[in-house]
Amino acid sequence: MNVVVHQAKKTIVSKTILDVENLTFPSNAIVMIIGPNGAGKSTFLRTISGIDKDSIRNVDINQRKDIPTDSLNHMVQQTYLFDLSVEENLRLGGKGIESLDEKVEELLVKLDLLTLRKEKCRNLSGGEAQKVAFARTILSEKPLILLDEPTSAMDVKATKRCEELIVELNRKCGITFLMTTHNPSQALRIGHQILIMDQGKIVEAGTPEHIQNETLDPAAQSYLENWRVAHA
Amino acid sequence: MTGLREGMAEAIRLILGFDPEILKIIGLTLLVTLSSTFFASILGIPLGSWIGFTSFRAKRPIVRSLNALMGLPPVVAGLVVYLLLTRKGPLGTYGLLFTVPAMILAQILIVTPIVASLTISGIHMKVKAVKETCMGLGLSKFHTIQLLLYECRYPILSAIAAGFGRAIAEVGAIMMVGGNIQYKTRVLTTAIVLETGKGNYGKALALGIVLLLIAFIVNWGIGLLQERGNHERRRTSS
Repeated sequence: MNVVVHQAKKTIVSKTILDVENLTFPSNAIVMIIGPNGAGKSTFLRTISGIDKDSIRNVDINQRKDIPTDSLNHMVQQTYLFDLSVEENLRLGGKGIESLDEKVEELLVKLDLLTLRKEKCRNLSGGEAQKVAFARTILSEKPLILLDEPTSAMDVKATKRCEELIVELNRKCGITFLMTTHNPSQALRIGHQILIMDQGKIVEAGTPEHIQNETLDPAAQSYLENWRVAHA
Repeated sequence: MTGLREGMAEAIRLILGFDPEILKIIGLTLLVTLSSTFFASILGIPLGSWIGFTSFRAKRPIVRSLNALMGLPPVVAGLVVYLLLTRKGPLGTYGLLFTVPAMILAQILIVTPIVASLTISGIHMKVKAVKETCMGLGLSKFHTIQLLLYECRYPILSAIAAGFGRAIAEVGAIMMVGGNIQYKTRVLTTAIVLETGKGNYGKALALGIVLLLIAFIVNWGIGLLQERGNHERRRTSS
């Protein structure tokens, strides 16, 4: 899946929220986007998927200017689960796909949701709800999946499961993942490429090795230093 | 006090005696109120959903206008319908003035903005999250609207209840276009006005008690449906 961002821009009352130009995402890769609060990570994903209608969007997805809903899924940051059961919510993510039953079953098992399958989603904890939203997003295995902090409310075990699933889907099906996180170690763990954003711009881009070993842009360096200090 | 006591005794006698006129009045009241609420919901829910779901330039003024129309004076609605249906009016040839359809029409005019406006409020609470989630999953517009209406079922039910409450308590418009004709267009509210004017407090009280009971039962039923949903939430989230 080729994603080329010619321009992605958003301004609110003369403040630039997002300003990204001429960026080509590597195909079939896991791209992790990190950066401080308000860096524009979510807005960037929302612009790519077309959810943000106020942004300037000039993005090609597989040489298409429009938003290919048939080949793109996006898990937004504020996950919303419908007032249905866990299983019914999952099924919404796989409308019209073959072997839906098996895929639902498989994800329920892999994400430890089997005992909750008939449970109404309003009764789930924050982490459980996030697992359902994550499962719903990846279920149809579309070629491009955008994940906005998909594991922010999950415990360590669930986070690990999700990371394994992302890596597995990328390896087996060649799915391209664009994922934001507030956890640089997660980005370094599973990302093929890492983008560091600050004040709406991409200030650093490269492989995990590059991010760890090379001299970085001062804003990126400062962000990572702060994180290292906090987690020392 | 004596008048009130006598009135209460008379009211109980009339209700328990199944007075034929009172039964007719109750029947007509239910027919007019339920029909107008039904048709106002048929109009107001899709209208409110559409306005709540879509973004367009004139949305704010339209929503404000609908909110303002929630307070539409019934006599004004009655006057409009009267002018439409009067013999010299545009719909005068149908001979609908002083008939039940005219009363239903007047109430539809009053209730529709209430249902539409409260539907918009309900939709407004969820539309962003539902739309974004559905878009993120690549669901069709039709499917998105279906899910949105499902998610907003309780606020929509409240909108219908509010519309019914307004319709059953309404007197000015239906008096104007119905004419309060015995056995033909006399409903509980107009009958209460008439009987009070005539000094028949017993009959007026009996009608008032029945009116209260109907409003109470219908709203109780709708409230129960809503509470069931909320109760499930509270019970399971504790």
